[in-house]
Amino acid sequence: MSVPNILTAASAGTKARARKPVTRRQKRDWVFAAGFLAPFMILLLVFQYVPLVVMAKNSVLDYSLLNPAVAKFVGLRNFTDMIEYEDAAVSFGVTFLFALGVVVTVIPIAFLLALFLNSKLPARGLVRTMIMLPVVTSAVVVATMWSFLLDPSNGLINGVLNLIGVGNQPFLTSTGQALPALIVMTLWQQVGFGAILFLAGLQGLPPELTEAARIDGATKRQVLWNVTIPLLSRTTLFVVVIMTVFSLQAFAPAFLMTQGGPQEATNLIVYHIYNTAFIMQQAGYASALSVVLLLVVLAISTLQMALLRSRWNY
Amino acid sequence: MADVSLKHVGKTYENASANTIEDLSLDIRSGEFVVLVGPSGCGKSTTLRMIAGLEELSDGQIWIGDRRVDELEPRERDIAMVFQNYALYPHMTVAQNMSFGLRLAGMEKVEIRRRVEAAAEVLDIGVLLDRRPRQLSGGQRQRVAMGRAMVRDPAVFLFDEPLSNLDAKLRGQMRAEIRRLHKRLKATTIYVTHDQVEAMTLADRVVVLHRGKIEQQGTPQELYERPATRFVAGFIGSPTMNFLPAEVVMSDDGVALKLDEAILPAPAAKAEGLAKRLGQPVEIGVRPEHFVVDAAPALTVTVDMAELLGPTTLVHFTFAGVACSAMLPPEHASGEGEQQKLRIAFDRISIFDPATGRAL
Ligand SMILES: Nc1ncnc2c1ncn2[C@@H]1O[C@H](COP(=O)(O)OP(=O)(O)OP(=O)(O)O)[C@@H](O)[C@H]1O
Ligand SMILES: [Mg+2]
Repeated sequence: MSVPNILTAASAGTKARARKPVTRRQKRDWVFAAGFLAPFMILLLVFQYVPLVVMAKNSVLDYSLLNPAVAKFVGLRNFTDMIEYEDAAVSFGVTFLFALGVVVTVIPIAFLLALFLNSKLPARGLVRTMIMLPVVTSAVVVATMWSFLLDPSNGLINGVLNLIGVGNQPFLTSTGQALPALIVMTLWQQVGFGAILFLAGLQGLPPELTEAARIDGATKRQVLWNVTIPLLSRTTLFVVVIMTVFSLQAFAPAFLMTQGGPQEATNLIVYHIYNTAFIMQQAGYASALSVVLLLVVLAISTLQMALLRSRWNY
Repeated sequence: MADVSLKHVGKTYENASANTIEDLSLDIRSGEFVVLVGPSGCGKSTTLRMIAGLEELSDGQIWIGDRRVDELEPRERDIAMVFQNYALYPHMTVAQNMSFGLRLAGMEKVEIRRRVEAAAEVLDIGVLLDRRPRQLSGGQRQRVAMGRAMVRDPAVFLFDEPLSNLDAKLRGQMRAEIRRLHKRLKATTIYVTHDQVEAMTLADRVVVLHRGKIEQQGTPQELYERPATRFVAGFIGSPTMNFLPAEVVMSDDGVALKLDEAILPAPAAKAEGLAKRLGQPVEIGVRPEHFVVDAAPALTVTVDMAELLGPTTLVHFTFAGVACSAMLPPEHASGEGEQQKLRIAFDRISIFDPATGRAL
């Protein structure tokens, strides 16, 4: 009831207050709003925004975590170093490839799964459980399990490949296969989440639209292409952004399964930041990398929104 | 243009305890405008959706022209449908909405354009062709939905309560427009509504559905003047018919009906049938406009309430223990609490068997 009031009051800001005297009702609304928001806002401030500011500040310092008191102001040197040395570029490149791989595989597969779950076909309940299980399982458990599955000498996947006549694959120990293997694992882990989001989108579509299209002469495939998919673009945008942001920040697979190797082939940026700060003890440089990552994530998701928004502007 | 024929059609939804449609047979002539009416939940939409192919039949057959269609996909049936909430594609412009079916059919661009423009002209939506549905008013959306059906030039038009989301005035306009369009296109049309005014004004034939069965069918006038059952009598006509308990008695002038204290000679046409029911109760149905005030008043009642409707006054009173209403010329209507002298136009009444509800 009072929420819209708060929102308009908040966005109108001080100007509105100068024009109109604050009524008692408005005052009460503000107190209520503050009361409800306080617990969350305080946590957000302490654990999210304060660290952000500290991170920004640290990115212009050169210091080690062993002795943070000895910090030297270096201006933008951390950022110029990033350009000078290859580690950042390589790591960002690996991360982009990883994110791209995850997004382009998750989206179509999750969508197809959602179509299946939304149909009247049998075994829906079973499939629903199967795809949701990895989503709710700890990333550590998933990574450990996949390490076993992908084991080059006696992993289950190589066992199956041997059965169908394909020789043992190196997987995580190969520069060419390690990143794709991590992508497949992440796909397996995240596709259920994507499917559930798509399913919610599908179930929100008014059934008359597909019915109208069928009467208009569309085959099942034409209904899908001309009506269902365009109408789901809002959901698609959401899934793309979520999956991109998630993948850009992935850490567990690199940390637990490959330690960024072989030869930095899976050196995901967050893992690289972790290494830089805690192993190499270059906290200032790590902060600078974090700042760039933050800006990159912001830029990519803003771009995605802008690109896709024009499609769902109806 | 094509005949449509429903043969012993039945429908039982999954998980439903009772049949929604039971053994429904209906033959619709090519070019006919048939209106399905009935109270909410009687199975009108279900019937229409089975004809469209959106619902499967549990029983029976549906024929359009000389093809049996009940196993065919909607797109193979050569039909067009207008939905209650219009179901316009929100991501397409008006022109794209209207041409969607034609584009799917691979029609030539020039021909598509010609048809869309022609339909837009008829429906007076030419200036809206580049807009999206969300930029249209309810009435405009309604026209676009009709346009989308028209351009396809289908064998059969199906309408499911197309006007129920419009306000009363617009509904009146669109009703007139639909009738005009039907005169022009002469397309076989099946139109579902629960609004009996729409049914009466649009239909060549009205089919009254009740609990999944056809209660009666006929021209609007037939249904109005000779309802076959008490249900139809109560459903058709507004304000609704008054139902009064009566008893068949023998008076000096022959068979008569005893209504409350009054003994009124039975209508000549029905006297013979009633003679067999001497001493038995019947229910008589009197339309509000069949109470008249003239030189030979037969009843005196006390007015509970009088509503001035403009050209007529609706007078409410209690008679024979039943709340009744009479539509009288304002100059003859008495005010609240006053006495009102009335006569029942006996040659216009309907008489029902109270046990079966069937007309005698
Ligand atoms: N998908 C369904 N599953 C089960 N029962 C249904 C389904 N659709 C409709 N019914 C039932 O079938 C009966 C007829 O429904 P239908 O929609 O045909 O009624 P209607 O005459 O169109 O009513 P209204 O005037 O309210 O639109 C109702 O009792 C309804 O509950
Ligand atoms: Mg209905």
